[in-house]
Amino acid sequence: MYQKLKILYLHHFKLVFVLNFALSLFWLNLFYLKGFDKVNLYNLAFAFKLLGYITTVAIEKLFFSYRIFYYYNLGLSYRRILGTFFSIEFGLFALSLTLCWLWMNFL
Amino acid sequence: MDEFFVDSVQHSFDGRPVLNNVYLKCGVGEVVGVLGRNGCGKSTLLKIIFGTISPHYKHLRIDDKIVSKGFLTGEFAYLSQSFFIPHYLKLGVVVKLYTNKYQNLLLKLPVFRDNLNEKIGSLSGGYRRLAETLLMIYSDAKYVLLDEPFSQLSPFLIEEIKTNINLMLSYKGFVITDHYYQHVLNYASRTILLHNGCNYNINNLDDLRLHGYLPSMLH
Repeated sequence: MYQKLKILYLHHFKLVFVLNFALSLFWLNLFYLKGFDKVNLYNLAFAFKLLGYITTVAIEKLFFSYRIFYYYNLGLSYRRILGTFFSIEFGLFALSLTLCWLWMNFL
Repeated sequence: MDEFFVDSVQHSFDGRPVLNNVYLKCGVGEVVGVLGRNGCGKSTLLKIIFGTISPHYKHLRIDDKIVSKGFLTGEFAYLSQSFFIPHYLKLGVVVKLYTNKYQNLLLKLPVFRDNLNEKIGSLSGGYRRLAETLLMIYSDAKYVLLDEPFSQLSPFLIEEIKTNINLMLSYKGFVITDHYYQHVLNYASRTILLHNGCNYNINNLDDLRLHGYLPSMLH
């Protein structure tokens, strides 16, 4: 299952991943400049990440009729494919945010 | 029990009933043929079993387990009428994606053995269709739904598909719809006809004439 997801992400989600991760880096930079104690900054960052994911779903919907049987024949639903993708991407964002906070506070 | 059955399938498009209490059963080692006129609901029935169309009502059971969408179980593969694998993927990649248990058998076939580093879109239309059909036949799914697999293929490629189905028949069950009724009638273990939203068992050409699928003067 994870091998299939890995192949799918490598072939179809590279650009979308780069765009979402670039958004993460942009917000990471803002946190670095403004500090990690601004609650509104967190709200704004999460709102923009959500917007990024909604855009990703909208883009994927454009290819829905072309790819439906391609994905479904793998036994994978859109929820599984995009859910795992967003979890990984958001996990990376949270991890980079935590590492940046640790680096600024303890190093 | 290695079989699936779908029962009481009811579906309509824009208020027009297409399927009404349709029943279909297929076990491992069986080839079930589904015939019917254009628009009678053959593809719709396969898509309902596969799970891409939600009907008004259906009861789907696989190996004695009730399921809602066939594809989520990983036990179904569905060959759609049009190409469904992106043209820019190499055959080597799609073989890795779709096959596991029977990968070695698939890689012995000339169309894969000789073109592993080619993109699937670079194959001719017939060979691309053959490649997609073979990927479904050799996939890990136990039940393979083939929607018009013989359409627009040369007799040589049709025989190639039949040969490969025969090779996998002891491991899988197949449901085939096609307008080449003679291929289906001669090849399938059982054949059903969808007509007026219901299904009828078909044993010979006379049955097809009786239900109006064939004109009565055709021999």
